Amino acid sequence: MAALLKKSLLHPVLRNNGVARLQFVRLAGYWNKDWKPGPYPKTDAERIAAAKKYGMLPQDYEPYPDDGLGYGDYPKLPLISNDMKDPLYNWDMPDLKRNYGEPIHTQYDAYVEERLSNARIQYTPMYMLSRFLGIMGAFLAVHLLFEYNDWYLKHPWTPPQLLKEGKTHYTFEPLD
Amino acid sequence: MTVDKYLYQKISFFLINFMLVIGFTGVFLSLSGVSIFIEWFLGGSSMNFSLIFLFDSISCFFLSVVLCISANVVWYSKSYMATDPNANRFILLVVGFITSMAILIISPNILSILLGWDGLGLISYGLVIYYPSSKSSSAGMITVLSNRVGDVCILLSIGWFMSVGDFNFSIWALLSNTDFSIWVSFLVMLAAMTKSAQIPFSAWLPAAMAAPTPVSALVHSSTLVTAGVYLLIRFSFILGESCSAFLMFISIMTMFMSGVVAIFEYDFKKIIALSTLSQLGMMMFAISLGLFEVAFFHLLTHALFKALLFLCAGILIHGVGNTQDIRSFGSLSLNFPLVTVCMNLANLSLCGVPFLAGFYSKDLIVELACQYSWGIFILLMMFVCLSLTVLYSVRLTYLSFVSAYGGGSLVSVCETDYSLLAPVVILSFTSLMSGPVLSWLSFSCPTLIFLPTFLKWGALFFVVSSVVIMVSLQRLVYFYMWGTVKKFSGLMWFLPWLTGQWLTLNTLKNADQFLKIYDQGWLEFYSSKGISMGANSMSLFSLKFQHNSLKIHFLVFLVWLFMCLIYIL
Repeated sequence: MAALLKKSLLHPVLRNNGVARLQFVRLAGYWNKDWKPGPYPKTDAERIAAAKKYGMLPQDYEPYPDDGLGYGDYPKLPLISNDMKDPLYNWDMPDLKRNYGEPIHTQYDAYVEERLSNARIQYTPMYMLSRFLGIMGAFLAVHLLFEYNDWYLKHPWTPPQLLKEGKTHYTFEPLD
Repeated sequence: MTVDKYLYQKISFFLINFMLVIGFTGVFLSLSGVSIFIEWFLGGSSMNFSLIFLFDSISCFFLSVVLCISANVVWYSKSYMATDPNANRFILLVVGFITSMAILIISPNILSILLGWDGLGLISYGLVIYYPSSKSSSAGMITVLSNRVGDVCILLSIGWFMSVGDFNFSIWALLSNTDFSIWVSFLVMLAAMTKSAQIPFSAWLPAAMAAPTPVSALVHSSTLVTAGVYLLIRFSFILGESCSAFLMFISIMTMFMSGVVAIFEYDFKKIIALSTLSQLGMMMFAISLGLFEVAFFHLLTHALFKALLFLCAGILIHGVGNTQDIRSFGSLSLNFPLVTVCMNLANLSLCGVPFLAGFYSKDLIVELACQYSWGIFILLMMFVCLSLTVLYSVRLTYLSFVSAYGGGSLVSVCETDYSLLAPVVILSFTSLMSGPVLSWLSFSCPTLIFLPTFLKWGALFFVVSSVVIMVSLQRLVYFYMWGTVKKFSGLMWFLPWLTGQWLTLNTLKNADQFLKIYDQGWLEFYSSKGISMGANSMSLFSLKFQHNSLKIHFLVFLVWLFMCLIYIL
């Protein structure tokens, strides 16, 4: 067991050129109470203070409505998915297309590069669904039309061997 | 850089030797009609565990073909991945993949098939996301989630098999009257459809071409995608009439869709991926007709010439500067003569040209389908799909080797690396011989098929006419016409968007609301946080009586303990 552990930690292939692959200590950077947004700003002074806290201009700052499903004083930012952001801009973190200290949307993790996108699409969802189902449905309809109307390919058959006088006729019944 | 300089060669050599042993074992088992069960048994009284491996002609032939392709791909990867810094991770993943595939092939019951099945899905995800880009990550996500649907179906069917008594398909195949519920048939069929990328699960296969080319040759042409077909061949007793009819329609539509999309596609590897999709549809079509042995035969021959096609594609892509757009290719036959020969051989096999591998398997399916009495629509669609296969194959060959050169620098456009060429040549010979040899081994008696003349010549007529049509079209028109058809086909009949973004968008939005209101809201209030707040308030209440005295604290504890003992006793 010790030998196995030693091999798994020190073997060159698994060490990835000096960086140990197997990590037994997890990163303890959980979300904590210091990151909790403040209460919904009611006065102008609170709004200005909240905008300053999030690094935004007061005229750009707008919180989510306080209807019970809001986010306190967290700003309601425009939802721009990562694939729509300019790839040539000089981002602080180019792979994430983010700048340091920039407030991110509440749904940011769903709209990263590999996940959802709210880019403008060429066709509406209903157009795409209707075209796909229409084509499949049309082929299905033609298929069922041919199958249930007996429009089969008829192969040449030998004539049926019917009962005839003077000729031996076999019925192939099983013996009782 | 690998740890051992000869690591790839050692692995390739081991796989070749293993392939020869398994191959000769398969020939012996096929000729003698014997199956070998190797069982490890643990227990004896009330709990029994057993691990069984099945070696019969089917598993040995399939395993030997997989090992042959794997050995050539590993040898090819030695040069293809030579400059990659993560080559160690690559070879570990490939070896893990081959192991999972071997477990799937030699498993006699659905439980151990699940081990190999899940292993294939997981490792193929690791291989697709091999390159660190967002495109690979997205492709890997769609691959693993599509395969996961199939995993869930197999898990559900395991529960069903538990209720009927036995997991082993070899036992069920011996019984003459197996009456399974339509639900378990549907589940197994759905699992096979997800793995073999039938409609509506077709979006992941072209997306998975983000993986390195050796991975595409091994995984996405001959092993992972054929696991679904293999599952249905092994569980052939489970398919009832309604599931077969459903599968027939789906497989025909998959063939048609992939053929049409491949004609309008410009990515080299995606065209070959769509070609794989088309042939998988052909295999599923054969299964829906009840031609399980013929489907297996086509599976083996297809695996060999498709892997060859991918390896040739890798050499060409390397040579023209790592671009996959076929508009940048052209006149490559002058610089890549050997690769041209091998690729044309693979393409002609794919088209079903007489006496090559594809002719033996594909033409047999076509002729047997003509012999059955099916609606004319099915037969017509089958011939149309044959034509589509020829159309996109000829287009690929024309744009790669015949048309004017459309690329950039000609510095590295030549054949120099023998580590890349040798596997291609070996697979070419293997693919050439596989057709007749496997047909002699698989079918003890030759199948005599009597058809009217026009049906007998139908396949060949469609092949030849499609070649003429596509060559004429390439010279006359460059597909600027049919804008709507081109857009519809170019977006793969909207399947990637419909089965990807559209399905997940509303679900994720609702899930976010659910998370906020229930998971982080009321459930927290009533369960975890509520209980901790209640316990907190009770302990604060009891502290008021204790007046910070340790003596009273321990006395209270003793009183509580005494009351518990009274209750128990």
